[in-house]
Amino acid sequence: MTKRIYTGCFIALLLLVAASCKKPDFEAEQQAQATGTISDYLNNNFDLSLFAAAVRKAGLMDSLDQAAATFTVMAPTNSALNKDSVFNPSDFDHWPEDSLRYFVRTHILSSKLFYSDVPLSSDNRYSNLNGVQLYLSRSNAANGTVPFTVNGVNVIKESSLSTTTTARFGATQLNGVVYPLPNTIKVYPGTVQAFLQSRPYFSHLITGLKKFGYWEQMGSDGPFTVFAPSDSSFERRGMTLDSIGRMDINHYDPVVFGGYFLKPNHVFVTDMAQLPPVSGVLSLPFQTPSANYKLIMCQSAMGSGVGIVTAASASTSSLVIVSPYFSNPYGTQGTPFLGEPYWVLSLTTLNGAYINYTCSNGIVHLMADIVVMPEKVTK
Amino acid sequence: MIHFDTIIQRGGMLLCCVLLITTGCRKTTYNVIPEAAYLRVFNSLNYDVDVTTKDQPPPFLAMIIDPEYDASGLVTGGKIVGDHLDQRSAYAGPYPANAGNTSFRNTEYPGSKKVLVGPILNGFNLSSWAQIPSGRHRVLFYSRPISEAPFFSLPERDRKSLLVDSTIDFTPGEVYTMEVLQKTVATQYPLPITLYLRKEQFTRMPFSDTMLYANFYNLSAEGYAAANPGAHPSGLQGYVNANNKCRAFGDTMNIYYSLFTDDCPYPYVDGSPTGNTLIPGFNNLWLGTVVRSHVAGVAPYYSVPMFAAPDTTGGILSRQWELFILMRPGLFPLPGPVAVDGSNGMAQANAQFGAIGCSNGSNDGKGTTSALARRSVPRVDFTDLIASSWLPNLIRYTASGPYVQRSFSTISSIEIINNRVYMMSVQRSYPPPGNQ
Repeated sequence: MTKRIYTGCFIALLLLVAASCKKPDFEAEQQAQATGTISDYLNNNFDLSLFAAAVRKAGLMDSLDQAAATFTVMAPTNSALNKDSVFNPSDFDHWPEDSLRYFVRTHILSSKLFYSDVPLSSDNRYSNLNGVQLYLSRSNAANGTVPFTVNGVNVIKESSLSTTTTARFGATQLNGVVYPLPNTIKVYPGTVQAFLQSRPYFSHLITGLKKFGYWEQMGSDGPFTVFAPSDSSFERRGMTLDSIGRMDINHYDPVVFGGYFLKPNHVFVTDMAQLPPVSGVLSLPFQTPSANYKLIMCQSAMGSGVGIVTAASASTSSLVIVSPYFSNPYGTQGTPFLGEPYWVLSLTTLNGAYINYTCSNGIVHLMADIVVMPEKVTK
Repeated sequence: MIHFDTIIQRGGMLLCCVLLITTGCRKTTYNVIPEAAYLRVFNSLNYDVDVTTKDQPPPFLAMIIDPEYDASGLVTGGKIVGDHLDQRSAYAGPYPANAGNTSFRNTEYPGSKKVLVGPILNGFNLSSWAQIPSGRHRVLFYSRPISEAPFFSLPERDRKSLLVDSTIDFTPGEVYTMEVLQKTVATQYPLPITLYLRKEQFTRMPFSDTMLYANFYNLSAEGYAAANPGAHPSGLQGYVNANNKCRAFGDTMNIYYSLFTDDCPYPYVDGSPTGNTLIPGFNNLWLGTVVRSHVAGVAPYYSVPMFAAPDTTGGILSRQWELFILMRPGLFPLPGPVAVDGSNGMAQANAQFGAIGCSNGSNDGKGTTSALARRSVPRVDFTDLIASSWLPNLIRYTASGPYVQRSFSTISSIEIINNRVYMMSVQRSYPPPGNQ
């Protein structure tokens, strides 16, 4: 009897041992997340039709159609391209082929980059197809109004009908991710010096920078942030090429042209919202090349513009402003960016057409007026 | 005839024996560092990271001792790696309180790193010091992005921001405190950085158990006080948060101390007030002078009495707190709790005067919210504030023997670095808690 029980147990044990040896194959087949490629997405999206046309004309549509490849496409919407005077696909016919290729390749990364994989910090660098590094920044600041930017362009959130407040970004395709942008990314392959030189309407600024000994360094490492008014802005304030050439460098503080750039800073406008001062601090002034003056950008009295204040007043609530709009009401005292309003509630509502030109050694912002009034900065 | 169950029993026993024999053979090898020196490292680069400084190398470091390089000259490894070295916290206590911290941010080395640490040396517990092999070593510090990724998994371009490259000769059995400091004030990035190494002397000095000891260093960047005069843009924020932030102290300052009664309870209870009553006879007593310098060397330890409590706790729980007043040579503190006469009292440190309060109100150096601290921080006539910045009390309150809380004196180094003050404490070992 006992023997039979033990035998039974032994058999049961053997069975258990044998059963445990079975290795079931739990590997499930990979489920496709999306059915289309990036090309399909661009071609079928009415809001991206202009960019799709640019991609097609640049000959990259086939590459973006390969299901096995991986890409991340920062796709400017039609309204973004409209800001750059592109209204019809035929407008790209006026672009030199190389420029168009460079423009399209600027917006494409050769890897699949999900929003959640970008570190929660500023200026994470990723190379685009031109081999130029784009600056991707994430931030939880400012109540999440600028959670994700590329070279100072605020990436459009994925629209959602759900009540969740967590922002989602990007449309995942078979071969990558597409992030729609409200502005084009403007990357210039040369230095800020070369950028200013390549545009004919910066001759007054260049003359001034040369006069005060700043021009040579603009070709060096930097990084620089340049605030560049056009020639007409100087002319309007009575500063001609001739009068700039005759300025007495012993009479003026060097900020008279040193106020047009920051070094070593590269500051996108959205950085100001992504890295705000701690509560209780009115503004974070930047040091200009002159020790006596500081620059305040998109903060406190300057609204959505840029202004120069005396260093002594920079940390107080009563700023001594030497910019042309010093007498305006508080919040509108800065020089606005070109094509932007004086004062907006949020930096994200800036139009963005003339700000954030990324050069190899810095950033250039086009300004609507001069930044320093010469008669206010005499020694 | 052998029964079937007997076979199973015997087989089972045999199996057990085999198992016991095989596991019994396992030899545990202990990691031993022969001729070890003891090293504690702080990242004292305390500049704020904001939009104006975002192009600076982040003050987040990787320490690499005896680096290894690949053919292209890229650092690929090291004998000792102290990764994720974050800006130091206000208070580095006698015991590695953050050893079990799971955050990747390490406010000191060894901190939360799992490495061999020092023994109890002459009664001092060195568990906050890592053991390192003595002899000549090359020490590198790299700035690295603030992320969880280990330094050697970072992309190549993120492993090239070298801040410090130095060779140091460590003597066996010595206790070293190493700090990465800002050398001078500069508008160029990266800022000039210097490495500071202090061969600690506390393990070989006689200390009394009934006295509190503190020494003072001013390790600020050269020219910092001159470049940052005046009030803080955010007003008295540093003070009312009872944290270690303030303004720059002067480069050469005399130190005086005052003792006060009725510190708030430990651990800190939100809003509980810190007393402003002086202990008679202990007002503005001169200790010595602190001079801004990056020269290595141990500053003299000053002793401050630790009074037994006059209450019902059997005299084991002292509730005094300490105030260190710094005055420019030629200025003298006024008698009374507030050393200067003027609006806000000592609230904002400057080149002329400042004061460091050591109280439980600082919540172990973490600071408090301003609303609560406003009720906690001591003041006279509401407006006259007694100190400019706050550090933990020099007295530690610890469970020991039959007592739930008992006061122990510490030996502390107070370091003024730019616009912050820091404290590092060591303590003699004490009887463990128990019901004797």
